[in-house]
Amino acid sequence: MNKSILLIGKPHSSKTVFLTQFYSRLQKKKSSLSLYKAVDDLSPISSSREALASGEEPQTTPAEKSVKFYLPIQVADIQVDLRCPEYGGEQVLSIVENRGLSKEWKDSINESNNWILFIRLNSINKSLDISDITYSDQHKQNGEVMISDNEDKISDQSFFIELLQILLHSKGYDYHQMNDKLKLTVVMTCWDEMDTNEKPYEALKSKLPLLLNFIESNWDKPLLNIIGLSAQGFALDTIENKEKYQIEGPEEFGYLVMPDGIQTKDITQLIEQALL
Amino acid sequence: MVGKCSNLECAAPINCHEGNDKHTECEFWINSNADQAKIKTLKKGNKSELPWTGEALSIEELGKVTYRNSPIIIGVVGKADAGKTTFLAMLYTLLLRGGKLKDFDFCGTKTIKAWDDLYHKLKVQKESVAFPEPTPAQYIRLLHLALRNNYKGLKDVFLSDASGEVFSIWSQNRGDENAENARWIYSNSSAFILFIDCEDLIKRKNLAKTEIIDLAQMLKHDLKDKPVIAVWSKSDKKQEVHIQIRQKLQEELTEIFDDYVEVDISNFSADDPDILVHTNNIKVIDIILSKVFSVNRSVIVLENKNTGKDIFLNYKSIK
Repeated sequence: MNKSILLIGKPHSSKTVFLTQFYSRLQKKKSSLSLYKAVDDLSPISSSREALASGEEPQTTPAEKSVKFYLPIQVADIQVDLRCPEYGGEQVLSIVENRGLSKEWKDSINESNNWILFIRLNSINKSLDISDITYSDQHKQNGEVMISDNEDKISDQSFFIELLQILLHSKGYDYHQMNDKLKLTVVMTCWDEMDTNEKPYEALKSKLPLLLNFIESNWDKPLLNIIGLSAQGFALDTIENKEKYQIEGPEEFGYLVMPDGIQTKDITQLIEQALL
Repeated sequence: MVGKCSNLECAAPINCHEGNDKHTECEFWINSNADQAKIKTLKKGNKSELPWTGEALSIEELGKVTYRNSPIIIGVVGKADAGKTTFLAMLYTLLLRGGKLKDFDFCGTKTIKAWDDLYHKLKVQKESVAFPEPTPAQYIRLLHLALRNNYKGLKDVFLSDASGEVFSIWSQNRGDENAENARWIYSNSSAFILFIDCEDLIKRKNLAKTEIIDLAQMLKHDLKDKPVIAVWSKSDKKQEVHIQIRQKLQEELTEIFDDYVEVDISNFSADDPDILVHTNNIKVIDIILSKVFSVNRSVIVLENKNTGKDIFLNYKSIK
C-alpha cells in the first residue's frame, strides 16, 4: 500500500529544520519509522544538516529556490511518500497571490489524502485594529482626516483560509459535505518560540480563530489534527545550546506537542499523526 | 466609474454614441470595460483557472457561487455615510478576532480579498483609523459568506454594498433611472438592514428623520414578509439624539414594520469588550439570519444557467 503526505508551508515556517531533523532521526535509527529506499536527492537539506551538526542555526532556504523534496518512509507495512512540492515556500505565497497551481502542486494535491499545514504562529502579524482599542474623541477626530496607506497585502489569517480554499478547489471538494476522506494536520511550528502552556488547539484558537472556525466547519473531527512542533527544540544562540548540538547531536533535540498538550521527543511521530 | 468606450470617437461617460440613455448599458462600453477587467486579472501573464477572484462579486458574477445553493441576499440599506460599508468592515474584523455567529460556522468566502481590504481600513495606523471611503454611486457589489448551520447544511449569504445615494434617490422616486442598484437590491434581497445614522439625527434633526421614514416606507411598499431590522449606527452618540426625535422615529418605524427589531451599533469601544461594538455588530447578522430561517419564507432563488449573465429569477419557498 502506498500513501502520500503533502507538506504545505509558507517560507520560513521551519520546513527545512523539520525535514533535516526527521531525516537524521531515521538515519540514526531513533524512530520506529525507516526509509524504504534511499532518498534520490538530499541536497535540499544538506546545508541545514551541516549547520545543525555544528550547532548553528540553519540558513533559511531562499524562498525563491524552487526545489522539490520527498522522503520515502516505511510506516509499518505502508510506504509513505512525504512530499514537499516546493521547498522554499515562495510558490505557496504565489498560489494565493497569482491564484494558480503548478502541475507539481496539482498532482501532489490529487494524490495525497493527508495534508500537513505548517504555521509558525510567532510570525503571524496581528496589527491593532479599531476593535482592539477603546477610543477617545481625539482618535475620532484624527480618524476623519486620516488617509489609509493601502497595503496591498492580505492578512495572514485570510491568506491561510484562501490557500486552503484554493487547494480544496483543486481537490474537487464539495462544500455541501464536510471532508471525510482528506485528513488535515495543522502543525504549529517553532513551538518553543511561543513560550506557552496552552494546548495546540487553544493556541490556534487564540491566534487564528477564523481559520480554526473555517477548518472545523469543513473537516470532520476525526480527520482534523492540531499539534505543535519544535523541530529544533531551542534557539542555537548561546554557546551552551550550541554545544549541546555539537556534543549530543541534533537528532537528540526537538519535540512534538500532542493534541492533549503532552510533549514527545520523537518528532517522527508527526507522520503517524498525519496518517491516522 | 473609470472606463472608456471601445469606439474612440465616443464621448462616454458624458454621452453615448449609440444614443443610449445610460452609457453603461451600451454594448460597446460594456465590451470595452469587460476587457479591461480581464487584463487586470492577467497579472504576470498567468490566467487564473480559479472560478473566483476573491474580490467582491458584481450582480453578473453571482452565478459563480449561486450554482451550488439558493443564496440569501441581505440588502444593506441607508443613506450615504450612514456606516454601511464600515459595518461590513467591522463584521469581518470581528470574525477575524474570534467573533462567532450564534447559529452558524464560517466555512468559507469567495470574496476574501474584498473582506480583507475592508479589514485593513479599520487598522490603527499612527493612532488613527482610515475607515472605508464612500462607496461610489454606480457601484454595487456583493460580499459573500459561506456558512454552515448546526445540521452541517451549507448556506450562502451575500451582503450588498452599494452607495447610499442611490437609496436616497430611490426613496423619493422608485422609478428614477439612477436608482437601478437600489431597485436590484430591493427586488433580490431576502432581508434588509436599514441604517439609521445617529450623527445625522444629531446634526440635521427632523430632516434626517424624515429621510429615514421615506426610505422605510419605500422599503415597506412591496416587502411581503421579508424581515427588516433597523440598525442605529454610531450609537455611541445615540444619547445625543434629541429624545423626541428618537422616540418618534422609533414609534413610526414600529408602525411601518411588523415585528420591528432594532440594534444599536458603534465602531468606538468605550469598554473592552464593548456591547455596541463587539457584540452588536455580529448580533445584526444573527438576528437577520434567524428571521430569514425562522419561518417558511419566500426567498428569491437565483437559478444559474452556467453563463454569468444568464441568471433569471424566480420565487421558491424554503424551509
